[in-house]
Amino acid sequence: MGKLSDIQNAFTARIRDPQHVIKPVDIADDRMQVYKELLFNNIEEALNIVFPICKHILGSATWLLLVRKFMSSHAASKPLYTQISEEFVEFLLAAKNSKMPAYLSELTHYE
Amino acid sequence: MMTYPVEGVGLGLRREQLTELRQQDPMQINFMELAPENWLKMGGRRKKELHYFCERYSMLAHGLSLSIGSPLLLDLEFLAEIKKFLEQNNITYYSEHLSYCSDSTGQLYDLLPIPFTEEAVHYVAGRIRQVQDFLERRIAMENASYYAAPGQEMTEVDFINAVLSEADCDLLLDVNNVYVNSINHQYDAEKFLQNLPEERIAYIHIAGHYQEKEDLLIDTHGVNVIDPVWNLLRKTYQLYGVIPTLLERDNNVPALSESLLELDIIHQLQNVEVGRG
Repeated sequence: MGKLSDIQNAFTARIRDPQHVIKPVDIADDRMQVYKELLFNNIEEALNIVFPICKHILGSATWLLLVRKFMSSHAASKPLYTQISEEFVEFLLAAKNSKMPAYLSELTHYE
Repeated sequence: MMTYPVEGVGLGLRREQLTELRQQDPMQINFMELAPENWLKMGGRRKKELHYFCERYSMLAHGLSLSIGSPLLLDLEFLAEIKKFLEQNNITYYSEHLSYCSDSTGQLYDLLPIPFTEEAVHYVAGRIRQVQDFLERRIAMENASYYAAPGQEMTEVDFINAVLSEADCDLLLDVNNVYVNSINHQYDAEKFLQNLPEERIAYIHIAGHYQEKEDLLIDTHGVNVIDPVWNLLRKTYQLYGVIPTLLERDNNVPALSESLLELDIIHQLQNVEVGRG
């Protein structure tokens, strides 16, 4: 892995987890913000369509935190946009023992 | 001289317009384009519908998820699915974005800016060659829209030229992206057009975008094409002659009649250019 992947991963790490990762120095704030919002909204939208009940039960704030956690920690391998929901179910299954309510993974599986 | 994969004016195939397309069978549409990712997993009725359109029109495929610039290895399983899809549906031409949508951790599901660096030129060109070998066909890469240029060492147009030349592939010229990028990164759009490799331009994309600020345009494909972008299309024809051109609309998809009005404008611009030549 050379310099190229370092540049890329520094950029995407900030998109994945803007609260904990510093912004690459050569990127303007407003442009970083564009990518942060575009990618988050794109994923949130995909999940919102498939898991509306889950979102409703959790409430908007918790739901958004969960989507952020998914983005910052899950290594998604399926390439299609329509497979984001499958990745989310995998993410919840893996996170079952954490602070997450236990019924969540079953609920998303059902939805 | 480039032999174009299609001729005339095209429209991106959208699910929202399928019924109207079948009912109206519009004269303005000479070819169509679809995103294979949106149809790959479809069965039954959808598959039949796809079959109808692939028989009725010259169909091009414009991919979303190849992630040509990604630090991850190329997903050959995915590419094999694409290959099968193209063969099954008699799709003769495939293009992708000069971009990436996954990092070393995994998929991110949206288009990211490849660093304009020497290392990236060789890396991306090598991967395009790998894809062309695998698919056993020449492909086109689209100049992508970008809002930031991480690690930039060279200009966008130098980067594009170097990649296309080293990969020996075609260019899908997105005129809206040229406009959007020229505003967002303050360069001269016409000069950019002049510096493109004419012999590699396979066809053109045109679309609408959203203006977030005076100096920040977002490539949404969600509204009608604006006049400065029509002007840039006219300039492109003046520079390189008539090139097959497709209208993209991915958000707020309107009634077909509204898209057809935009296709009429493309026809007019092409006719003017033919008359001029």
